[in-house]
Amino acid sequence: MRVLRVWGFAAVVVAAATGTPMQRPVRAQARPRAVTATSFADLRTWDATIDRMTRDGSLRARRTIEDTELSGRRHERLDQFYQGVRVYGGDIARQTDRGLTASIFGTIYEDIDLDVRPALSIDDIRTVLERESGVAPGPRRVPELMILPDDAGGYRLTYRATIFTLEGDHEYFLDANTGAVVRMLDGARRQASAATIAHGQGILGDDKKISVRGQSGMFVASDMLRPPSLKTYDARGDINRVVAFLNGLINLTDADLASNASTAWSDPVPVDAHAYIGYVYDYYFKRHGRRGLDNNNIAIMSIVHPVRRNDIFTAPGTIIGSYYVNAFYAGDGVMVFGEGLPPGLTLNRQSWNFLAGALDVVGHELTHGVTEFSSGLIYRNESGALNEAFSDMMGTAIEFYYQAAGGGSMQADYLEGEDVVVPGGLRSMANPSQFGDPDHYSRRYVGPADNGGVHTNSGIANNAFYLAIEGGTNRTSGLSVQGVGGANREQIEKVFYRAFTQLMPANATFAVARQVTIQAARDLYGIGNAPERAVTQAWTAVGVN
Amino acid sequence: MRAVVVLFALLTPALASAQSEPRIYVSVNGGIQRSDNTVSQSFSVQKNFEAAPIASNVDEKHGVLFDAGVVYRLARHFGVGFAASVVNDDSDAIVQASIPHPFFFDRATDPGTVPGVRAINGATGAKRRETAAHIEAVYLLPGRRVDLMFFGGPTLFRAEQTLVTDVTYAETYPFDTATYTGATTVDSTSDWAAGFHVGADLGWKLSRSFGVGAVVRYSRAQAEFNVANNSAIKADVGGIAVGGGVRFAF
Repeated sequence: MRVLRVWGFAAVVVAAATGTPMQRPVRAQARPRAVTATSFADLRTWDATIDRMTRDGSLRARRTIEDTELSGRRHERLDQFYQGVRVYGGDIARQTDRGLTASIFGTIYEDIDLDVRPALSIDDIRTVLERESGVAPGPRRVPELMILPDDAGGYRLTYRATIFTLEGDHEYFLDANTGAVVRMLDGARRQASAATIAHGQGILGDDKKISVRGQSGMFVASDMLRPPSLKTYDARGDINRVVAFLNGLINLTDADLASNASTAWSDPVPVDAHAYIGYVYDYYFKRHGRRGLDNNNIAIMSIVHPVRRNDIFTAPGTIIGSYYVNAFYAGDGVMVFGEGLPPGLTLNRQSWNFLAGALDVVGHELTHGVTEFSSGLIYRNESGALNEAFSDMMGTAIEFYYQAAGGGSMQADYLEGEDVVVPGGLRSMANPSQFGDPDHYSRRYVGPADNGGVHTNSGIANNAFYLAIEGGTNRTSGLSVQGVGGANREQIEKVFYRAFTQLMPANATFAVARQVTIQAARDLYGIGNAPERAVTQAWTAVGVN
Repeated sequence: MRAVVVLFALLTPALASAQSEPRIYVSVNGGIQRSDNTVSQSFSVQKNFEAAPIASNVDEKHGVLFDAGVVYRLARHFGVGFAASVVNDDSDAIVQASIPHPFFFDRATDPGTVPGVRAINGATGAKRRETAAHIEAVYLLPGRRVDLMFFGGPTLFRAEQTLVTDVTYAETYPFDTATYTGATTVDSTSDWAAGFHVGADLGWKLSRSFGVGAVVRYSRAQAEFNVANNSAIKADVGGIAVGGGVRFAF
């Protein structure tokens, strides 16, 4: 009896009685099973599964590397095998943190039922390759016997070989029994059908790279290189479609993705939106070890061009406020970037460019997603102001992470939105009163407007964040703060991140925020260290005790 | 392989007379060539919309020699000859490259640090095959048992060299490092390159027309290889060849 089976599912048992002609089993449907395990229960289950598959030889370690960004973490990559033959595309990436599994992602093909004895030898295949490509592979390029999940269903026993010609590389999958070309990928086609890098000028004229995907001869703004799905959609000014989507009435499809015919993108708006969303994800991952908005790599969908700029002259005021001079996080990983104002048109003597063009704006909005999935700070009154402030803090932190400090375009500072709302931006963390916002608790807004002044009273916490880093004197209280210094901004970023994502209750007040940030500083750096001192002094300086 | 022309002459302690000395001497040798030749490449390819500089260095050490030659004696001590040699050398190319980040222009492992790229290094197999044609002026010292000859002249070389054209690497999110996995190579053949050689051959006669012998030859030229993405690559060919084999005289 031979058990032809990968793992875990109903075994397929094939009798191989002596004298009975061997029949090739009927092809099973290729069944990729996506493996996504980040919860304790899933990890435990998959750890056991991986151990079992490793023991029976259906998973084999390919490599293990140390994480260069997060100390103590390791990344293990395992390939799927069936009866000693590698399964193309079947692999597992397991991350461990000091020996404990932190995440498992991958694809496992199930129900493989195949005779893995090839009728053709490697020499036979070399001959076929030479006939097909005109190039005879050298002795160092040994075709690999491999099980190929067939697009049409089932599995094929193939030899895989890469041939290089003057036109580029060609990857052949040849049937191991007949020599027929089952699949052939050349460089251009592979590039068009998989993750690739594109580039384009952003709204402010800077050239930046974006991670895109080839699709039907086009390149679409779908990031295949970062762990979560990051997609940027182009609404092409169809506000009704955007609203319908936000209301859950329709789905956006791949046809709605921002796209370009070549890898040199011409529309700067999706370039900035797509690039900056990736930057924000990277910041949270690298700085705080966070995996996206929900720390579980929730997909992020952003929408650009929700309206047409030139339609502004006939648009109701509510649409202008929401979809022109605004960007917003709509929940569940969805972001909408406002279109700004046509050139020459100003609001409050400020011109408004496409909102996607400001890194701190993108960071701000996506941080609302982080808050949504962590503290859940209620969006009104003091907790709402803290919610807004945390978005400003992280937006600014992200700016400093990627941009050089300075007062110019695309330079890091403590202004919000200054790259697209010109001149000056929308808020200042260093001097909130510059925009009429309070920098001290005694000056807080207590009226009902703006959900109790969430965009106004954020200035109090913003100024505390600023003072804890840079130090200085609060303009209202006159109290001085010994900040940790710009070179140590990471400390304060981590303190506030920890406080706002792990310790903060949903209906926190400023006073609670003071306590949790101090606690976070103690957790991270010990009692009496510089970050705790800076945070304590900063809250005192802004009148929060 | 080195071409060696062997002169057979009867060499006695008294340098016996040359009566009935052969006119044609044939040699076939095997041996090694020590070359110390270096092939250095420095070029760039486009990766992630930026130039990825690649450097490769091959240090040739020892090659396996095969050669054969013939000498025609014109006078008592003088002759002319022709030899052909082939040397095969399998070495490693040490490859270094810097791979631009897929997400950022001019960024190193961590945004905000100094401009830079991700460095990788490794090795890949690099073959060299030198084919040489030697035209020789020969000075012979024939003896009863031992023949000694000195020779020199121009040499034409043609070399085939494995050259690096690209690198392959592995990377995973967040792509701040990359790991060398291999190199893409091409076997490039040079044009004929002119050089020179000098050498000596010592033969010991086992019979009137057959013997054994040893040869040493130094040869040198500079060959030029051309490969996509690279400017012309100049590299020394030749070296000191030492071999031994059989001798025939007619």
